Amino acid sequence: MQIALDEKQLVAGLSDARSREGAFRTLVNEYGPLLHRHLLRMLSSPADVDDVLQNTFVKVFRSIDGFRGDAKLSTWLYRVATNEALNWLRSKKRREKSFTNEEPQRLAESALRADPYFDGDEAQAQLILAMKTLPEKQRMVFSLRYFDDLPYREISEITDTSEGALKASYHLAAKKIEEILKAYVQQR
Amino acid sequence: MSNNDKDQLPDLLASLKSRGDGYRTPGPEYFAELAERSMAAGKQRAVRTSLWRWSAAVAAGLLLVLGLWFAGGPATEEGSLLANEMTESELLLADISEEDIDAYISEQLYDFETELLESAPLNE
Repeated sequence: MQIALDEKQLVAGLSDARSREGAFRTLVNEYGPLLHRHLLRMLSSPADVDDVLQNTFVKVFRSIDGFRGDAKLSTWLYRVATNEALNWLRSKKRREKSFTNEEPQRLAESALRADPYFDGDEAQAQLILAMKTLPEKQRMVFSLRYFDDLPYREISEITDTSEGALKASYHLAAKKIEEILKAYVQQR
Repeated sequence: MSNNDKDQLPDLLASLKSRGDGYRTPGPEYFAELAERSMAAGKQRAVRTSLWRWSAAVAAGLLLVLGLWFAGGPATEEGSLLANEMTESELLLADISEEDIDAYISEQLYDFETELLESAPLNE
């Protein structure tokens, strides 16, 4: 993660009503890209990402006074974004259960091919698609660990899950993805 | 990441790790616009909160009038039971903060929408 600015200075700016808006713009500019990528990997369409990312920053703007600085700012932001994404996925799953008969994997594939933010190669596409077969929470753990390189301690703060359970979940996820990727390579 | 926090990844995943996820990040204008939209939506809460305050005041007033009317009417068992229920509803309402009501609605918004869609006949 490459965040250049001084976090303490930013939190101070956000706590003061006179400098809040300017500091908030800086916050979105600095941390927005990180959360945008995290949500792209969690959700199935860029439109969903736009909505969930905006919901995340609206919540952050409203509750910034409650941020005491006990955790890192990025940990708190990841936590808000992750909760928003999981809520969104839960309600979307209910909606799709009622109105869609299409296979989830085909839906994920066509969504990824149409995603204007995805310009990866075939191997990256297969990796993302394999990741999207994982249950939501496991996918989130895998994404935070594999792509964002977050330490288990920080993922534990984001997800309220013990480090032991996270390690088990991550290794299980890695094994499942490896199997899917191997099967794909053998088919070609 | 500390050294004892390293993972032993299977071969294919280990070889793909350095290549990243294949997603690109939108330009700075996307995030500038997002900040403005988020702040505008964040500020709307103040307006909604004062609407809630007015609605709660009107509802409480109505309940009070109804409560007084029932209390002053014939002292039947049914009447006094209803009056007691009104008072309890008022007390329950007073215990819930506007922030909690707001947060509940925001969190359940998609559920409401889903429930409405599910309960609506398909040809409507």
